[in-house]
Amino acid sequence: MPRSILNVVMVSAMILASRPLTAGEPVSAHDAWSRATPPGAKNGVAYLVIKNSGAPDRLLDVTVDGAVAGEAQIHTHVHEGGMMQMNHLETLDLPTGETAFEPGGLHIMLMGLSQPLKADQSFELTLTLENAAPVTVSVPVRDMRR
Amino acid sequence: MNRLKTALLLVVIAVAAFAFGGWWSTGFRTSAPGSASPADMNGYVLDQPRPLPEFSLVDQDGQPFGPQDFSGAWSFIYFGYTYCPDICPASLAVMAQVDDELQASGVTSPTRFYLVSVDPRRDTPERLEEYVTYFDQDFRGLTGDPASLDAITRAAGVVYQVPEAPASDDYLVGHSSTITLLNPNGEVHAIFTTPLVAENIASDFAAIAGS
Ligand SMILES: [Cu+2]
Repeated sequence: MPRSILNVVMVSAMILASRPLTAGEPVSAHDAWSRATPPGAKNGVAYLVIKNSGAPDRLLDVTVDGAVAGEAQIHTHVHEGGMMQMNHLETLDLPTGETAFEPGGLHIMLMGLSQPLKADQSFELTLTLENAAPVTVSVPVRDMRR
Repeated sequence: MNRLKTALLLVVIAVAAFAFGGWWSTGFRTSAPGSASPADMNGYVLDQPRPLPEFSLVDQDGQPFGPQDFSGAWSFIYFGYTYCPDICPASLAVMAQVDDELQASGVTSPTRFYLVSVDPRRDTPERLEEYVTYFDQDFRGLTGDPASLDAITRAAGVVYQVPEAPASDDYLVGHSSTITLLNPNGEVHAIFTTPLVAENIASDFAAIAGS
């Protein structure tokens, strides 16, 4: 009898331990990708969709491996005066639902690439949130030329 | 502090006035989509093609490039900068797709494709060369001093804004995201506006060029 109780406890512990740490976290990211860059390019870009299934939260910071780029910044585009202008956002409100980063709009700008981003490589971005646990997402690089 | 704010405000006003002035002086404001514009065109054909003013740019090989160098082919020109990771590469990819579409559909009018960098501080001819040829071996890059860039952008219906004295090398540049089409006489003939979609631009161009 005590033995079967022990089994149940052990199996339960194993199931719990095998769950991803982020399971149950309200904020997640999907559909991340990055545009391959021309040789010599100093800046790159990444796009993704952030899903917030909980209460409104806020994206405080995005970090990228220093071997990939010097810094990752949250950028948006504003269209005014006949111009497209990129604006650097310090933080970004994440209402309940999905926030899409996409070409011509919100994007993660990678400042100071160490090397051009080549198709089929990938790198990680880590999102720091005000309330939810940090989210790490893998970003595949795609050649978008033709 | 207040002086800084005042200076900043003056810069903002100057930029806004410049942008508005550029827009106004191009004359596009008053021209409703020209009668020669293909139906449903995203953009417009000018009622009267506009000759380019004098300017002296430099090409990706470091050679001087003047208005007359545009003659002899239809020129698709995008104005941007190579430190731009988002809309500039997307737009150059669209121009490469336009090139493909035109070849696939048997359009015979000669065409050339250009990126004009409005950021000469960072975009040297060498830098432009490796950037534009990534999209297509035959793409060309141009840049020049502010006076020449002002002259060509104004005529091309484009506005841009580069910081006067950036504190660091990772400043951002604002610019129109349109494609200006010059006819084989080197005159501004049409403007393609966003969204820039390759197959639409290719079919509009075929209608404009007449083959
Ligand atoms: Cu940006």
